[in-house]
Amino acid sequence: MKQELLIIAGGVILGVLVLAVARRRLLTVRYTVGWVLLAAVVIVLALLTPLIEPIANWFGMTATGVLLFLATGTLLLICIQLSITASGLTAQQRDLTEAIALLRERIDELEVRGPEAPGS
Amino acid sequence: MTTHDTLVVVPAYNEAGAVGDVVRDLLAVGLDCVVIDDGSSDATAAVARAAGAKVLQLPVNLGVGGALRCGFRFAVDRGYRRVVQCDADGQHPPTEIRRLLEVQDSSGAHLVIGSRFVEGAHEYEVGRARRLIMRVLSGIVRRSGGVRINDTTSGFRCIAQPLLGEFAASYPVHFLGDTFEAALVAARGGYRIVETPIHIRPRQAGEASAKPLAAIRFILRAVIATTAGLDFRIRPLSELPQP
Repeated sequence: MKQELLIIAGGVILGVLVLAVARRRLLTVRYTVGWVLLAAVVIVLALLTPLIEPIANWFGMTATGVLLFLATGTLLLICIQLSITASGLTAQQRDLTEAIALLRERIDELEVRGPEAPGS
Repeated sequence: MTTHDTLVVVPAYNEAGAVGDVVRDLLAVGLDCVVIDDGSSDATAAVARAAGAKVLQLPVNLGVGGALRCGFRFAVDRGYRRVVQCDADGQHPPTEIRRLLEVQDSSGAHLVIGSRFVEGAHEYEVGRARRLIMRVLSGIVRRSGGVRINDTTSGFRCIAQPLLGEFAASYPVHFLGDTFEAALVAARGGYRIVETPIHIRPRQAGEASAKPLAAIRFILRAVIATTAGLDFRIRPLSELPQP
């Protein structure tokens, strides 16, 4: 029972921490929702430990083992998801950087040419 | 030979010491050139501009591949038919650019690679490990792309349309991506590639970006290189819309 209480406490701390960070606008809604959901899942799973027990035993694992397994798997998925996001951001940043350089050159060119009739 | 259909793209990262002479050399022989200042912290952009070059200034450092793609986009925007990429450290003399262009003219190739190893090229000293890796890279291009290229990592090349347009849309930034992988992907796409011997000069100023540690990354990347085209794809020549 102590173990379940510890896990629940962990879930509550995670939830509070995420909400506190979100309130300071360090996290966007998109990520906040995910983490709060995760905290909720942790708490629910801890409460359901007695139900998990027989399933875990069937796989030759303890309930703790199953929870640990799920937690590691979830963290792995989150890491992959974040890597995907980072890759996308890198590509976008690169596109924008190049666009800025091209626009800057265009502005310089127009400034050198001086005021002219528009469209010429 | 008309050269105003050709743009020389010079990626430069902290090359204030050499880029001025490079630009003056290029302009002196009547070549259009653009310097891509890859987020330098020195006066590279100012020096290049003072020498008379058009300068594209990247606000952050993207790496050679990013600088090159920016140059390719500029070239395509301005209607250039082909691009010569050339180092900012003075290793690639304008006379050799002429040679690349002549080879492109006579062969009609989409990619002309200036090689430091082909017979007729000036002695180019490299370490044994590096030489071995170069051979492995050549082997990969030959088997997987069906083209024989000795110097797959040469940064001295001429890229002509329609390959130029494809590279402007997509070009890798990672290590070896802008040299070896670009050649491999072009070969697989059915673009014509020709290699020609060139002479290179010793560096005039600045520091080579390839540090000794890079050799290890070189090997790692060479291993990963077999996955070329994983995140960098261009349309094959046969699938391009006919002009």
